[in-house]
Amino acid sequence: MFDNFFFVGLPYIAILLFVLGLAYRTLTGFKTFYRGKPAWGAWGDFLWTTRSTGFFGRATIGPAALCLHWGLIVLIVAHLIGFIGGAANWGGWVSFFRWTGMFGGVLALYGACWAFVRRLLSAQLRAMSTLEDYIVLLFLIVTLALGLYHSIVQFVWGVSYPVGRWLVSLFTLQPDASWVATIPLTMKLHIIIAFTFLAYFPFTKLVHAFSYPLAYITRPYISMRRYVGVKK
Amino acid sequence: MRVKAQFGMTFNLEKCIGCNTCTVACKNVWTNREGAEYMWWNNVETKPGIGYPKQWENQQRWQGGWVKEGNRLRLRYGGRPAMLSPFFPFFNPHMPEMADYYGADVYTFTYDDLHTPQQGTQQPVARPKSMVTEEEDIPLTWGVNWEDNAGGAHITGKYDVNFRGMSKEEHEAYLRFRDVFYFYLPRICNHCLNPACVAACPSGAAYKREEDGIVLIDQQRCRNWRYCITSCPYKKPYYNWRTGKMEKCILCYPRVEHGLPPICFHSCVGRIRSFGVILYDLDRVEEAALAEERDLVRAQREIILDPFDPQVIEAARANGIPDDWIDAAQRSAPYKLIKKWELALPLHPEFRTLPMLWYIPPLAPIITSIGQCSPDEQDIFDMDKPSSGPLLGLDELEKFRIPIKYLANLFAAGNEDEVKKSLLRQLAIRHYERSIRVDGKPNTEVLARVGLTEEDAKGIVRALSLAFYHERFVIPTTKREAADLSPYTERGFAGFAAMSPWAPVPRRKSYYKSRHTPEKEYE
Repeated sequence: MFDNFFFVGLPYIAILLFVLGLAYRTLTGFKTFYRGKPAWGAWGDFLWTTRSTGFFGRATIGPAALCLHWGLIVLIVAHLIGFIGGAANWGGWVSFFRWTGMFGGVLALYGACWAFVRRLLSAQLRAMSTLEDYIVLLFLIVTLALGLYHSIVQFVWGVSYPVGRWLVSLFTLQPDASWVATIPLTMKLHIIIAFTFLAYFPFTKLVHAFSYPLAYITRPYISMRRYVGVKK
Repeated sequence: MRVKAQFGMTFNLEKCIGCNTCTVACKNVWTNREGAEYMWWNNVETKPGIGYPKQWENQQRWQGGWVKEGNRLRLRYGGRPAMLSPFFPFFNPHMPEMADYYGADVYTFTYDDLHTPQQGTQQPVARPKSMVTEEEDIPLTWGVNWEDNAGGAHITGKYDVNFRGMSKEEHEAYLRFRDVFYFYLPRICNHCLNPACVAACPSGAAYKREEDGIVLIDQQRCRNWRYCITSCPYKKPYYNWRTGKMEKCILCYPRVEHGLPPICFHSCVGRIRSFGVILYDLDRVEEAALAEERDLVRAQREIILDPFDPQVIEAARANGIPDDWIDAAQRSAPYKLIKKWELALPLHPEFRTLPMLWYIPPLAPIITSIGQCSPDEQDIFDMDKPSSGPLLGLDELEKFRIPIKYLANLFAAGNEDEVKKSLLRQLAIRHYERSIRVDGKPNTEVLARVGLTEEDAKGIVRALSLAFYHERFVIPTTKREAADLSPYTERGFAGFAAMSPWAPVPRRKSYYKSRHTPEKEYE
């Protein structure tokens, strides 16, 4: 029952919220399709920002910001490789996940912890922080800590095999929670919190992860606009 | 030739008294909000000094502007491939932070304590208070007017990059009290022709308006990359820490669109500022930005077109510039000061952004010592003493208290000839005016020496000292009627985003079909 809720219901809800939420946030950035072209404008997504804290002390966040972001990138790639390896029963890929994940996890945990502590220590950052900023960092810290606790402290490796198959069952729309029924509790918590985080993601500043400027690759350096975009 | 219209500006530093009325007007209208407290879209600096934010001119530190690489321009911070690479976005060390703007924190004072004092043994005082954390008694170590009237120039002046090309001894000598010089440098966004902030904006939020060249940042589209602060060599975009978006001077476009000058121009008590339309050739912007350092001022002047030239007028009309804009360009004061009389110079042309705010370099004062060229009572009351006295001869530029080299580094990428030309012309105008008042007959010989005609001289006198409001500011209105959006259906709705014609709220889009412009969807 619980397993079915957390490992069948929650993942689907989270993925749905993640995709639809992101789509909604992206599309509100457009005014509409005006004269057949997407037009940016007045009621776009004003909240799509990183709300960076570097303004109140760049030197104190530098290494942590780099560690956090690079750690997360390493973790995402490592997880993908681990799950594919686990589902396909490729031991090498799972081992790669183990070591790279450990490395990325340590980097990201250091970055997230320092970012959180720095927010608490600096009065200026306390003034500029919103609840969302703290929640997001706490989510990251708890998820990362659980993952690292599991792999570094408990030395329980190889969870990728059942989890990989469970994910395959999710994506093939034949969800089977029994794959993950036997994995350790810390790993279950890691997965549950991660999916909750995924559901929360599109409603936070974290959408900035999806602002890679594709248009910048081809557009001329100097962008010019006619006023308010309504002139022919 | 692609003719574009652009609002050009000139500031006459000779007349700036550093009163900051412009700054206060701008602050009260635009940036007295949370997150914008530290922003000064207009500020007045005292030179020599390092300015606001600290050392903004030092591009070794901030990596702003363009550099010429062979026959191409590259953003100094990084080219497009570098900025798109995944190594760049997570940490950018070349960006000013609150410490560079305000030392500890942007501050106000506890003025309330003055209104509601407790009975005590001393006068109530207003103590400094952070506008971010509301903490009181914070240390005050920097601010927007920290160097006012050369306060601390003997310390900060050492870091002023405009002394480059001078020996260390010379540099230090100019900072000694006896030899010190200073002048004011009011700064707003230059609304450049080749804006580095726009070029550096990955999300395309920063843009230049085609009609009038105003550079703006789209608040909805801004993704907070903050490359615009790094790349703007004048450090005029600011980070709003509350909204997480970039903001910059908007040249008061709501006023300008209706034919009023920006509020800082309007409020200038010294009337040092003029504002008007300039026509330029868009096709030659890159060429001008790529000129050799020595030629930068000349190249930037060259792409400004003569609005009286029939060919230019024809090309302007072909490019959709309305007739009243062409007329405004012909009456434009900045055009005359920049191009016709070549008095005004761009601020740091070596950044290659082609700023459209031009400065007339300051003339006064001259070095005096007792008994030599010092004005005494005799000079002041007896005007029949032309050979010596407060008026400098045209060949006495070395008597300037402000070193020409300094002005050249500031306004002409080190080319002293451009600065000398402007200063000599201003001097010649003084001699000419003096000859009219004192000798009773105009001295046109002195004008000929600097390449001016008597008509030019009269125009310059008019423009620099007598010009009325409508002469300093010739501002054609924006052609709103040509836009698809009609003010008729907009009344009562403008400003309410959720009620825009594109919002999901159902709304009547047309009361009747337009007979004049059937292609319009909204009338």
